[in-house]
Amino acid sequence: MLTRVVLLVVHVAAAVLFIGPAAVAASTLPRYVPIEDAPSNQRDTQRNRSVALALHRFSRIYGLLALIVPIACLLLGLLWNKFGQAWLLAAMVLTAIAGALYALRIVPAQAAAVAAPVPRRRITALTGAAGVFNLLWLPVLVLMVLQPGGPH
Amino acid sequence: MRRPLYVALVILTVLEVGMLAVLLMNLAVVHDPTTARLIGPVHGVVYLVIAMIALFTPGLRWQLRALGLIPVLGGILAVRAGTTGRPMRNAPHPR
Repeated sequence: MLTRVVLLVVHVAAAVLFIGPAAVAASTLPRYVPIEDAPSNQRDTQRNRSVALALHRFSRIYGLLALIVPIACLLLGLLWNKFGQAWLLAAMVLTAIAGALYALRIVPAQAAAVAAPVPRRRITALTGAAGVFNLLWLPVLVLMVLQPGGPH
Repeated sequence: MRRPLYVALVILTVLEVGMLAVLLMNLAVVHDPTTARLIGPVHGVVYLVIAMIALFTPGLRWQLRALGLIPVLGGILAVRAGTTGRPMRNAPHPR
């Protein structure tokens, strides 16, 4: 019983404290990353490579720490014997999509953008990818709370 | 494909095949439900991660992406393509 409570707290706490900052860092980085094109609005003059670098580091570190969330989920699922339930499988697939999008698309694109100034459309793509990443967590959260099809 | 990602893919593929072997042997010989209950889901998670690497790695050829979705075979084919084949779009043919 105690193991399950500890694991559940670790799972939820890691989701809030690690996925949250990773999402915020990924969403705000595009606003600060240096741009290759000529500045065309007020925001462009505030672009700052040091800020972008710091946000990129936050994205990487919190993204790695966020791996605790699926690991705790796997252990909980095994302890609770819940892997036969569709809501959990659906949430895991969505999480895997979000994680892959983050680790294989967003973070590498960030690394390229902080290494050298990139054109505006690449920065816009980064903003869009971060938005999709953030939105993917909403259905996961609903599935986790309601557990449709699970016993109550 | 970047080197650390390729190493991860090799490790995951070995894990996936190994766990499938354990599951099949368990099914054939001892038929212990606890083993199946514990290893089955972990095997599924490893498959999911391999499939997502195949889907999301930038620059892969679409054929390899599609093959990567096949359980067990996908990982093996992706690892093989990384050593002998032409995993990336626009990559030159190997000699």
